Amino acid sequence: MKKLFGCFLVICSLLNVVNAQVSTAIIGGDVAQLGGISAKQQSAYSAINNPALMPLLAHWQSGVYSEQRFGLKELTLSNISVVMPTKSVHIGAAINYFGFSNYNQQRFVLSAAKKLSESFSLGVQLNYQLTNIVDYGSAGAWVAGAGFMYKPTHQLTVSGFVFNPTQQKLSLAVADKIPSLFRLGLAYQVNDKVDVLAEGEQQLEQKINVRAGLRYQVHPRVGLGIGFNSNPVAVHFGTSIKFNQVMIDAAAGVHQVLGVIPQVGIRFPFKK
Amino acid sequence: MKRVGLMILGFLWLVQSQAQTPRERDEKVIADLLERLIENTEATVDYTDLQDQLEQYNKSKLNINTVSREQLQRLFFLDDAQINAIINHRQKFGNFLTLYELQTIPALDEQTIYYLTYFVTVDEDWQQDQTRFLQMLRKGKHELIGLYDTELEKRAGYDATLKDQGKSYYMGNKERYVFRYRFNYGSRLAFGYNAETDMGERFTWNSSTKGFDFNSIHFYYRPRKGIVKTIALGDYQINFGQGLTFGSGLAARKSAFVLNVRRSYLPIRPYRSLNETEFMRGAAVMLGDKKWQVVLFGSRKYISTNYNAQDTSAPQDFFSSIDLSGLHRTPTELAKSNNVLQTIVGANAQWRFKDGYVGLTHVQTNYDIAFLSGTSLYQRYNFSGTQLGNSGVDYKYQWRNMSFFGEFSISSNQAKAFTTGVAISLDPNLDVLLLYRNFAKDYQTTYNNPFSENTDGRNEKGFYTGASLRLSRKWLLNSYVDIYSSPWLRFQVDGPSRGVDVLGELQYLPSKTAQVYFRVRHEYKTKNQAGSTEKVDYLSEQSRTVFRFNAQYKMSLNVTLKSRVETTLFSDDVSTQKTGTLIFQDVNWSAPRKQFGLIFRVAYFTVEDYNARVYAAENDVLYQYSVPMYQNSGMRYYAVMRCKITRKIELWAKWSQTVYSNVNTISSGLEQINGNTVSDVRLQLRWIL
Repeated sequence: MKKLFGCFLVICSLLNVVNAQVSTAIIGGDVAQLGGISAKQQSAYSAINNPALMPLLAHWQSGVYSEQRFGLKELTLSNISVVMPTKSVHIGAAINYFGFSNYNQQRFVLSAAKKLSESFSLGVQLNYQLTNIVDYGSAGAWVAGAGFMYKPTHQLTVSGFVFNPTQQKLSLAVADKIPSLFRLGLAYQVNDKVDVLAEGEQQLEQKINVRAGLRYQVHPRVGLGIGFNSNPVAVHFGTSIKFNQVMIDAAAGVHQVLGVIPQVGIRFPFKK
Repeated sequence: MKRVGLMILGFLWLVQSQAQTPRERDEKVIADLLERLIENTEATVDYTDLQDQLEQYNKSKLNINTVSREQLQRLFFLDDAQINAIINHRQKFGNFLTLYELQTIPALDEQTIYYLTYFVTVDEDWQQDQTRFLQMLRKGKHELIGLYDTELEKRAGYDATLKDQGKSYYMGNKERYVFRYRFNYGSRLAFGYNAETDMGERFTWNSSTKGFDFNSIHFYYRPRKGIVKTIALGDYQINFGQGLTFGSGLAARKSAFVLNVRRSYLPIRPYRSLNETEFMRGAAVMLGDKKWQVVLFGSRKYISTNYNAQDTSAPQDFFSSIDLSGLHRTPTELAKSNNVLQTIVGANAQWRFKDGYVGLTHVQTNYDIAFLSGTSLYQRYNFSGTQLGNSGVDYKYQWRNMSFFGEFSISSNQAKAFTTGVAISLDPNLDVLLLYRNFAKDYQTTYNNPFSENTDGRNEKGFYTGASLRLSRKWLLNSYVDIYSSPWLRFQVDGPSRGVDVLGELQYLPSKTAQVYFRVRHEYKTKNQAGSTEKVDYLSEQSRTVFRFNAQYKMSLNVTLKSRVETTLFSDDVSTQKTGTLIFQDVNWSAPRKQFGLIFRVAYFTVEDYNARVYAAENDVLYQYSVPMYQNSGMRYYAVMRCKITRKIELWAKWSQTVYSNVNTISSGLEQINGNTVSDVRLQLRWIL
């Protein structure tokens, strides 16, 4: 029991040190290489990161993603996401799993987005957040999220996302908080190959996290990305490679003290 | 037709600067660039060396129709996209007919073109110049400069009774003298003599001091043909590769020129600065051809150290620190002067191929007395001994829109260091530079100046990213992020440490006569907590954020205004946030015929703590640069006057005064002034023969 509780405390303190709540972690190897800037994410993971971005996808897409923080298998986060465009709206779904058998968090997401004009779309999200701790039990809560995307010019994209604005909590005695946050991002398309991105994320009771990144499509099949986080300070970089229609994303985040976070993902488009 | 039209517009655009003489314009552009280069610097050092580099490039104008990418990289205000655009334009349209044609290149903004015209030419450049040595002696220009500098208030060290009391005192008077003689024929032939006596130093002639306290002679010659490319005698500067294995003199550090971290220098330069330590003394020669280049140099000079004679506690004579200040004002400082012989010999070979080069360097340093490092824990990996060797390999390679560069070095204790990077021109409007460096904690050198956070070029790992984005012809966004760490202890850092330095600058050029920029620089690093009463020092996270708004407006041909508001916020783990604020207004006026000019500044400052201090570069007399630190509260004023007495004689005068409102004594020890005011007067005369 002591060992278990100790393990739990280590996980909590590590998450605290890196200020990275897994329940709101940015998902997807395509944006992990940019330091987690989801301002213009054009992949299935937008279902969980910001549903208003789903209309950027013209076809069905699914994605599988996993990251292992600082090489510790107990800090592994996995995700599966899918986005389905329909005639009137885009529908998305995603599942997150973080942790190990004795301590884990799960997040189930259902999203919908509507393109209201050529330059503006809105998205909403319903989440079920579940935490399991052996000998402490399980607790879950329904959490809402909503986002927008606006393209004032062809080159510029502005997007925002709010998560848990009602400050829902879990009923567990420990780890009862579900973070509430607001994220506002900006993407500037320098040319067909290059995007410059920036994003600010404010969680309640935390310091703001400012992200900046750059994506370079060095070849039609190969993209490179680099990004920075201010809180915690970290450098991220990675690549996306296209094989036929399948996109493979590989990235790494380097924390100044704790080490490396390897991040990988695969995206499968389904064209009609 | 479009090309011709733009040339005419370009001609009209340049007309406004024709009111000045070429020499005055050259000096102004060099001063402008230097100010921009050092304005982000937070230290008061002699910048004459940087100024000299710019002057060298100005005198040896490059032919834009034959200039190489490597040569253009030396002009630090050009980014890779602009260099590519110049070379692509030349390949596409053929040779430039006139410099006005630069305006047809979209990647070049007005300010860059303006600067560029002072460093390139469409005429034959110095490399085609066939003038013989004796002709050069006849055609070249001689210049004599004398500077007198004094403070109006008396510092404690000048008290005549101190000597009788057996206390430390300043042996000289409170006046500083500088004498310069220079001869130049373009950049092919230069020789001269520079001398300085600092305030408090004696201007005397005896066995230890010969007139001035510091004397420097240089001779620099580039033959017109043959295998010998450059000869330097006397005092000179040497820079190889990325400055990791060996590099003397100042090198640009992090600045608003966010892409200017790649080293690209002439290997040998004449030394004309007044810094008394950072130079070589002896001879250097560069041999070469189109495909290869070899530099050989030897230096032998006395350096000032804390020399300790052999006694019961030390089995041999030794020294444990080198005095870099160059000040010899007190008997103690004078006793430390020029007491250890330093000999350095080195060679660099470079093989050039189509898109790059590879270079090899070896440098050997020898002291006639052993250097024994201190025993503090942070000094554990410092050099000790009489001989030190450094070897390195450096490279540059251009592949498509990417320019790779780097250097790997090893010191004689087998410690390694490397730095490598790539500059990528992602778009005509976007340049990015990535640089990674990793210097072992026990890497040792005598002179090096690689890009790094710390000045010693060792015990550091870091990753730098700089980006410059031209949003339009009028808007420019510059930024960098530098994340670094030191695996071993440093002075006043009793543990492995880390830090982050971020800069963002948005520049707006609403017209040819106005420039506005807003800059934020945030730095956080771990250092010993100041004022700690604990028995063991501990590290705390210290953060410093600087906000700057700067506006410059040329009201007319004769009047330019410059305004700045700057605020620094400092905080650490313990104390409350400290603030420092500086507001200043400059007025720069030149008489219509440019015979006379005046620059005024009024500055108000209020700084709560040393850690929230503010720096601001100042105008000064020619060849002098100052970046004073603002601390406490008060006002600072200065006026610089330039007067052309005859066609060949010019006079400069500067008066500056700082009046503090919250202190009654300034500085401490021998530098203390009893009062709240410090005033300085400088007079400089130049005679062009």
